[in-house]
Amino acid sequence: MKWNWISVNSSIAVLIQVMVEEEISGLAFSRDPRGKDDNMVIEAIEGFCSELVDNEKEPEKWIITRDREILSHKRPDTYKNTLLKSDELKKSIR
Amino acid sequence: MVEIKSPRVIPLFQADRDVKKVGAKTKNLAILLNKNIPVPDGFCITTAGYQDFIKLNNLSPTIDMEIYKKAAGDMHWEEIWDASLRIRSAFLKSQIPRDLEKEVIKYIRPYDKSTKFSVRSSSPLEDSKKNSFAGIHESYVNVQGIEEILKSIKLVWASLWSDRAILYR
Repeated sequence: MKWNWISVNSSIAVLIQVMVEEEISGLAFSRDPRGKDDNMVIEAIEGFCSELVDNEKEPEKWIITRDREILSHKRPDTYKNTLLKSDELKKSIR
Repeated sequence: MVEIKSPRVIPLFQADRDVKKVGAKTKNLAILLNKNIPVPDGFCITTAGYQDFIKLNNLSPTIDMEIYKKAAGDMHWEEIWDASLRIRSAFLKSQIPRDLEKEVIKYIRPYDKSTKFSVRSSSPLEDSKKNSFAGIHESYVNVQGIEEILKSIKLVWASLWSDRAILYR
């Protein structure tokens, strides 16, 4: 008799990629993760993205409607200049 | 008849198809890459590669004994934490199949020795329409050198059985 191991039904793949030296990094959500509406959200910081996803640095943040209008834009006091100019930002949304 | 073995390692640009083999993260990044959106170059070890590793080292009995010895609801989180640690150390002590290791080295070799890599989990279940498994399995960044890469691969495999992953299921 062959024993059926339960764990063989679970599996995982591994993705190996070259690291990119980041000057500015960020996250884009195609839908607001708070789930309230259809807006897009972009968060960006200077430096490594891990500092953003681990909540170590406060990001500059944009909320953008699906018609590419910037609904709100918040910049932490520590940033003198914006990381992304609004026209560049709009251009990059396809 | 010659048995055609499904590939264990696939370059990223070819990994835009079978989500069960390459996982959602890999598939989605491959789709972006093939639409000429800049994505860091890379390759994927398929779920078949994970299964080879489990079979070669006969790890299924270990995992089943640790995880499924009790009904999930009867396990305290301390027990789950212990079980995960034991599975992790069993994985680290185990041998990556020689063929698979050779394939990985073949992909890494062209890069300069100082090149850093990310070694990321790519679950066939992650981020489906129903569930978001974001951040449940492990990923490692700034991994340098073949030995560290091979170790990180084992750690990503083991993260399928991390305490967080088990509690989430």
